[in-house]
Amino acid sequence: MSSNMETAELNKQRSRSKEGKLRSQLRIDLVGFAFISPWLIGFLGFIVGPMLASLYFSFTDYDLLSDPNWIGLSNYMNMFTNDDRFWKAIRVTLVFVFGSVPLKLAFALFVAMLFNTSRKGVGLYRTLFYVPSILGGSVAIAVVWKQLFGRQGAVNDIFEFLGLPTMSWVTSPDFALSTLILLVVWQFGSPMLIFLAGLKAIPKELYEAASVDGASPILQFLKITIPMLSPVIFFNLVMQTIQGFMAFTQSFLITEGGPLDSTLFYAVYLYEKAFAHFDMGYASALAWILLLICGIFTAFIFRTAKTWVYYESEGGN
Amino acid sequence: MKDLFKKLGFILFIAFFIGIMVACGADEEEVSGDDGNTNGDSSEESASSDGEEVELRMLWWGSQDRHDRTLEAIELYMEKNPNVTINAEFTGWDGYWEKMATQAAGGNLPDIVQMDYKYLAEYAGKDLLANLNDHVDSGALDLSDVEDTYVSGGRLDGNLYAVNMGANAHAIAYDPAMFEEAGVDAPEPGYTWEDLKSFSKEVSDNLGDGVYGTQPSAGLMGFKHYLRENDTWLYNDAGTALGYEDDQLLADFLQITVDMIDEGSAAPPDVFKTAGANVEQFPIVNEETAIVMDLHSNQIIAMQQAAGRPIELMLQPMLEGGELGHYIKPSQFFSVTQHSEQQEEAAKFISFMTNDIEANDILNAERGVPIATKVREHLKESVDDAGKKMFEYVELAQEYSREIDPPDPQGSTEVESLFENEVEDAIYYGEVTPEEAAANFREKASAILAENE
Amino acid sequence: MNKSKKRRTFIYHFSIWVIGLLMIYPILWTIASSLKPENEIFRNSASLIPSIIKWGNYAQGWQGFGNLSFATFFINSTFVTTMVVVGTLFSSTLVAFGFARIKFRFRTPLFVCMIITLMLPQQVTLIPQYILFHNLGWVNTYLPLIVPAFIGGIPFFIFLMVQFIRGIPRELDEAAYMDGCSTFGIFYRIILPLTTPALATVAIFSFYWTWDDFMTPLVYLNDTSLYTVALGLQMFSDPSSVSAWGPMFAMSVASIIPQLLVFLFFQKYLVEGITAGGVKG
Repeated sequence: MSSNMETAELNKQRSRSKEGKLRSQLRIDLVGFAFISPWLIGFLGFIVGPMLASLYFSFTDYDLLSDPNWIGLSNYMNMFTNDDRFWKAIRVTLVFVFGSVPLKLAFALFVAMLFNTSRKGVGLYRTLFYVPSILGGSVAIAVVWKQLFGRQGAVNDIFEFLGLPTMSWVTSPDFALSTLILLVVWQFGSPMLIFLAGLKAIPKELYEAASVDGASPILQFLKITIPMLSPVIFFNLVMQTIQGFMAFTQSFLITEGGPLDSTLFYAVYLYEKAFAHFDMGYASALAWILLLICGIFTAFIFRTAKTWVYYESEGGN
Repeated sequence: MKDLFKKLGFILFIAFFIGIMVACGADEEEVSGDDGNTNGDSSEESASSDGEEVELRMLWWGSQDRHDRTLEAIELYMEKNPNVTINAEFTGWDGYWEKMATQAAGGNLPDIVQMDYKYLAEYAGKDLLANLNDHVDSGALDLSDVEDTYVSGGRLDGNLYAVNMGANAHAIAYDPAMFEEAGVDAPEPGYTWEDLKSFSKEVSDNLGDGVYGTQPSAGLMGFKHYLRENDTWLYNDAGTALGYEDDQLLADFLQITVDMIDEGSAAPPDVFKTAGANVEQFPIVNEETAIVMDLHSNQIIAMQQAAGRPIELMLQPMLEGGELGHYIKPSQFFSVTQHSEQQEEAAKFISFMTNDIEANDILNAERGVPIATKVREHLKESVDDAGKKMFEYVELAQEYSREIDPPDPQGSTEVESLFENEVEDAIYYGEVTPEEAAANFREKASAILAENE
Repeated sequence: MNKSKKRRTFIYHFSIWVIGLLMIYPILWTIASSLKPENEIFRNSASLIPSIIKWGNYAQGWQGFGNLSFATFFINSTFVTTMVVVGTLFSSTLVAFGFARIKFRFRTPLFVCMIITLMLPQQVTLIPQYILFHNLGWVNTYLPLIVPAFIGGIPFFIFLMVQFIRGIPRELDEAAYMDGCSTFGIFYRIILPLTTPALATVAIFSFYWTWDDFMTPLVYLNDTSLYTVALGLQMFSDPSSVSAWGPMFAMSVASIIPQLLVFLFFQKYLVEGITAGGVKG
């Protein structure tokens, strides 16, 4: 693509002469599609097909090992009328999402602010705080977490010292979900890094100017940090929400959905249906309902974004 | 900034370089593999021997010890049969069944797969496993030295779909030192459920706070055993409904656990639920309980290793006036899949793993007690202390055994999760009464099994 | 330096160390367990100090399985992960620039499509995807692991870059247009340098995710000599028989080291990032 073509295109876009508009739009389309082509090829080649296949499976009785049989809406009907565990999974997942996402984001932002200085040793601290996230969903973390919140774990030692009640938190139907929420909040490394990167992108002049004007740190935080960071906050909110709905490993490795289904994440239930009960048809139906639920929440966040997300490139609200 | 790009460029270069190296490495391997084959060809011409090149894929799960041993045994087989190449594919337990299911769906299953009793009916029922009867008749798969109790677990409707790679028996384990400390006699074969209650109580009382007699089990494995003692079975012959009539059986079975937890002779769930399926984390390892119920006999090895002190195996409790509950259970099988184009060669390899003394010296009963009589007699002499306990226990259990019930029908994995969630755990946590649990289980399990009609 | 500032610095460092200890407790635990003899890992699990230090776990773990040592797994993982990181950086920046800066038709619907692909659990697309790759003859090669990264397989990163690019003032592009810069020139000379912190995050995450991913290599790789570290780690454990816990913890520790190195390498770009002079409206 030659640069004078681009300039011409830009000029046309600028001048918005009616005649040239259509042709220049075509050029813009071409450039746009050229840029997104890596994703578009992958999407059309590897993603759409399997997604549609799973949509098809959701209307069939498919046991993975033999061919699928068309059964219409039965899977969906069963789910809504005849499956207590489906509702249980939805309830658990909603509690998990609403419990973990705000906490995790607040904590991540707090720590990111703490580390957004040029104090000595900050690099080391960042690494320390990122470590839990590196451990991720390994077998090791499952053993550690069970040990930490088990009957003779470190948490109970502290509670005992403080004179608080002790118990096996991770195997209690009342508290197991809370310990898993705590686990994901504790693995706040990824949103923290994204916040950090976002904080770095805020021009320092803004703060300098504000300080000269005598604005307090809190005012600076509210009037500069939050708006300037809002695209990144928005990103983290959307992604954490989606990932919350998809959460799997924590429950699968540590509590296996139990005790008494108290940590039965939606994805864990779906997995059990697909690979333990050989009911891929039903699992696919579950997946599409999850997509729907998750889509509604995400769409809602996108809707509200217009009112609070500020884009430098779009001149703000 | 520029710095970063420079470094990224460097990384790209390294990646490219490694890529070429890995690619070359893979090529070399392939080439050397081919070389091996051509060598095989040439030697074949001179030494005659049977037929053309055979390449088999074999998939199993396990941990480090099993991988090492199995690989060595495969090596031995390839040495003895230079025309055969076996490509080993192995994983841990996690993910194994997903890998199997994906490959089954893709029509790409290996020739030989390690199979579990729990999944046998699902896979055989969907025509994914080869019927090995013909290979037994032709002698490719030699089971002449194997008693029928060890083979029958792999049969469905008279067809042999899987060969047992190690025999196991249902067991409990106890810590003899804790019994001695409590001044209580250790259980002897022939003890009953009532005895279990009473000596658990004694141990709990005598060993003080935080130590319990028993880690209870209200699980399906125990219930199946209990049903056998009552001369009935969980599923009917066709696998279309529950096989037992009276819900009181399940209620009585659950009541044992409820009573024991209430009396303080069995540990409450928060003591043992953390462990999950990991034997190494069972409370008996930390001397928190003196007994643990519902084990497989080969688990003694892991348990004793984690505990670092002697642990003994014992039979399940008997039912007064009841039937024998024990049976010899296959710890795992080898099956030949329908996707295999070399089913006879695959059967020959399984035969080798079953009968060859040298191979079993390498395998060392890691998969459970070997099924061929000669091999078993031979290995019994050489295994270590925990291994000896396992061998002796399986012999003991065999005396108290009767025929194994047919493999679980399709849908049984769903019945198992139902039992675990709504019966077993609900009982531990006191959410339901035994009677409620029994009625609820019948209703829901019947619905699941009815789909097999 | 006055006293109150000194005290503030002290409090800052002290409180971070206290929380930090909580953060790294699990790693300390893993390291401790990797040095314990087998009969102590669970018997004495709360203790961070082994009674005797057993380096043998590292040797036994590194030895791997048969004649397949962890060296092979590390080389494989390094190769796959590096390719994925490069591919992700390449595709996510290009695609994100397209979505963020160019007002082509169907932009919004396509973007929505991309976000939607994030919401379908991988478990149900696994099988059709396997069949697809199987028909392409890609099973048992690294292609199913690497190629998707180059063709934008990870919308998370695209979305992330979109958000960062949208945060960059448009005046910068326009000034460059005036100077006769092409669209690609703007992308390469203006936008990319300004998103360094975001690029560093993308690199860190895609490295960690790929390094840790267990399901994709498990399903697509058959030949054990192609296995990655994450697969190697889970080959130590089998709850139905004897798991090699000590070696597993030892290799878990070893597997964290490259991740830490990569983090340390890239994290400084989070700091350097944009200096005050970098952005001038």
